Amino acid sequence: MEFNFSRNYFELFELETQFHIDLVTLADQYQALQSQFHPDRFIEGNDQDKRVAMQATTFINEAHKTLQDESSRARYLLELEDVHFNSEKDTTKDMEFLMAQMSLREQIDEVDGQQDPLESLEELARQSKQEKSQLIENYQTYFNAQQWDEAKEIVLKLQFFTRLQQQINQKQEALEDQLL
Amino acid sequence: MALLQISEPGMSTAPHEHRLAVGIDLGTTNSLVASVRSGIAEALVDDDGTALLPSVVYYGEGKTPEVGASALENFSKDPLNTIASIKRVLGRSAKDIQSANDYIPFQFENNSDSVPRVKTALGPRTAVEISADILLALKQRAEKTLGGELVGAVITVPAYFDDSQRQATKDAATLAGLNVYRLLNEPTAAAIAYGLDQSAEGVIAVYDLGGGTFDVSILRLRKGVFEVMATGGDSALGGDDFDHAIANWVIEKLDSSIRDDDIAMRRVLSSARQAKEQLTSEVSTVIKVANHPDLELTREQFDLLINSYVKKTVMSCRRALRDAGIEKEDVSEVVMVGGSTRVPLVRTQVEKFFAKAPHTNIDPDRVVAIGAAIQADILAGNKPGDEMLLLDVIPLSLGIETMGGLVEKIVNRNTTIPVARAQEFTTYKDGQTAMRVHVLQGERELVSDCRSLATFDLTGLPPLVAGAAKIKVTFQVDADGLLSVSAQEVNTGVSASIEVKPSYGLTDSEIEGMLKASMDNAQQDMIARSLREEQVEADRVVEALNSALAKDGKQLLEEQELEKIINQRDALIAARHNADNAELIKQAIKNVEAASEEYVARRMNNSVRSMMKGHKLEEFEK
Repeated sequence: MEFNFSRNYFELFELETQFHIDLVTLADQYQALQSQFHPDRFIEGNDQDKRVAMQATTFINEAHKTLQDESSRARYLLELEDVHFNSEKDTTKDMEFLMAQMSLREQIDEVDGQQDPLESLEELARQSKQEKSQLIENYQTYFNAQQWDEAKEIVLKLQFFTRLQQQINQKQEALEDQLL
Repeated sequence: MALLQISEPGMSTAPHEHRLAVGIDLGTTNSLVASVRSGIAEALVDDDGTALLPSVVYYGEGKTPEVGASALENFSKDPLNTIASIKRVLGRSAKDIQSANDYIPFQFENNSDSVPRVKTALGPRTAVEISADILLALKQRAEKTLGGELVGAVITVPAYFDDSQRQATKDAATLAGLNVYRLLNEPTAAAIAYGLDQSAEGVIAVYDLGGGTFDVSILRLRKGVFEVMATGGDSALGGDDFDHAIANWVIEKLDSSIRDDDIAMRRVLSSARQAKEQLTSEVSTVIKVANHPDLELTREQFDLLINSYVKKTVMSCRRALRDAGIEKEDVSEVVMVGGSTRVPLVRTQVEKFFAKAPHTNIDPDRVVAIGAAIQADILAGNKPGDEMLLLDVIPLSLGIETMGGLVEKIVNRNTTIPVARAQEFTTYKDGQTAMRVHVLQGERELVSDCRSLATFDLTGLPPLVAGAAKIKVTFQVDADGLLSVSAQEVNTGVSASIEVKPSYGLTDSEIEGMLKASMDNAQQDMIARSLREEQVEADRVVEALNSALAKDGKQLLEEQELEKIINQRDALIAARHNADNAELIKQAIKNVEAASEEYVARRMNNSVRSMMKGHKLEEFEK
């Protein structure tokens, strides 16, 4: 059994290396690869085959997860262009954006006092989704123009939205528990 | 080729091709073994025609261990040597068991050993050994029925079993001489049992309510591939709670002193269970308690008593849907598993929530073993060309301890397995040459609130300034959901690794408690976390500043400047130890930074490596 680990994630799924991808093709290719390489297919195989199967499906799972999500896909494309990310140091310096993010976070904390907190949270989620899709449009423009620094700035901003969504989810769960 | 072939009973007509594989549901109360024969998955029965094997082992003096119904007969005669419900302690340490609130119906040896051993007339036995005796009985039944040696088995585990509990299950099976093809989550097994029958496509919700646990799993079935999208639940909620609700109602109506009488209490509970079962088909039932008038319990009243429990399970369904990233309208099939799903209110509420009639046609006691048998048959290669494949997830997040008793999550719950994740960490002190890696499982942010899985040391690190060493910790979770961890210093390649071995595990109620608390306390966690983070940051700043001052403070600074920095530093130390407010510490750090700005610039000019790391805008991210 052999598996080529040197392909990038797009090549792995036989997709063009670009931001816009067809998610149905991604799902189909993902299943086809899993069907071929999953450890379940090598239950009676030798240790070498079993090890490669685990590594291959680990790689396939990571690739799938990365491409499925727009923010991680945007970041991965830049990494393929040798743009480096340092999670410790990199952050956006756009003060206006940061203030807006702070304000969104405050709004999450403040939904408790609202008449319908769950609805307010959903409204926040909708709002953040809109802003996020605007960012993604900008990203594609910068990326196509090979303006890497500008594109990277957007990826850093997108990470805020990922965390914001996590916070909204957490809050939603906490509120639901209170309702019981 | 002859038209008629003669073969051994139980053997397929092509013995070289058909490989004997089984699915085993190792349950708390009962266990089952099932296999696919002539294309049909069915539970295998014993000589009396019974499929359910009570999960009970009798260790009588001078006898060979007995398993099942015959073991159960000794329960009243020799209770201490009749071991039941061993699954409740499988994969748990002595400490876990002591701290657990639930009543364990057997005694442990007193020793400091971390592996608990049950006292029996045949000597001490671990939970793994006792479970192995049950599995061995099932293996023997299967080999007798199928007429040959088994090549492999799929064993089911509750979706919420953690790493230790999974390891212990696998060890027990190995001890029983079984070749474990795969550990399979119980709700997933149920979905397979239904999914293949109906060759469905779409999203399946499996609602599994047993005696003491509730699991919900959301799966996508597409082109023969089962993909678990999310799993959730409440591991301390089940049919036993319904019994208690009825019992409490009875006691309130009759006589609250019943509570103090163990034997009377047990009788009331048993009448409560009977009443519950009758209300499945009747609209009202009569509860008889000795020396008290008869009580009528209507289904309406019963529904009121258990309504809050059922509501909770529906809430878990909502949460699992959110974890899966789908709406309830997307669910095309609902599958009911577990004896407690016979309760009418459960069925109606689940049907109402999903707006779909749930599937209930496979015996809820057998459906898990049947699903496991189908999976085993495919893994054994008996169905070449069958594209069925199962992609499962890890049920609880994995992380490691970082400074200040915080957990850094490395693999999030509901990530598809196998998965590997690496994360880099750094040293905290100048010249630090060793680092301890503490692996944890759970959803909470503080170490003390998560389950500790393993600890190991990475030694021989190059003595560098704080923050210069880079330690890459890699988690690998295999297709059984079992974890191994390795750590490596990136620059030197110094490495250490560990297979996470079962020394203990989460109790079901602990997992539930942890998950519940994680939701409830997300807010407090965030406050505690930011405080700890600022404290750690303060220590780091002070440490770095001291070390820099010791080197060149006198050369680069005027006395007055030095004094100013030291004053701010001392204020920071005071704030770090006294303040319970992250903001105050943060401000004190800023003051130190402001006071030492000029000093840092001079050090840079002197081409000395800056030890004062900026941390400005990134703070917003936390």
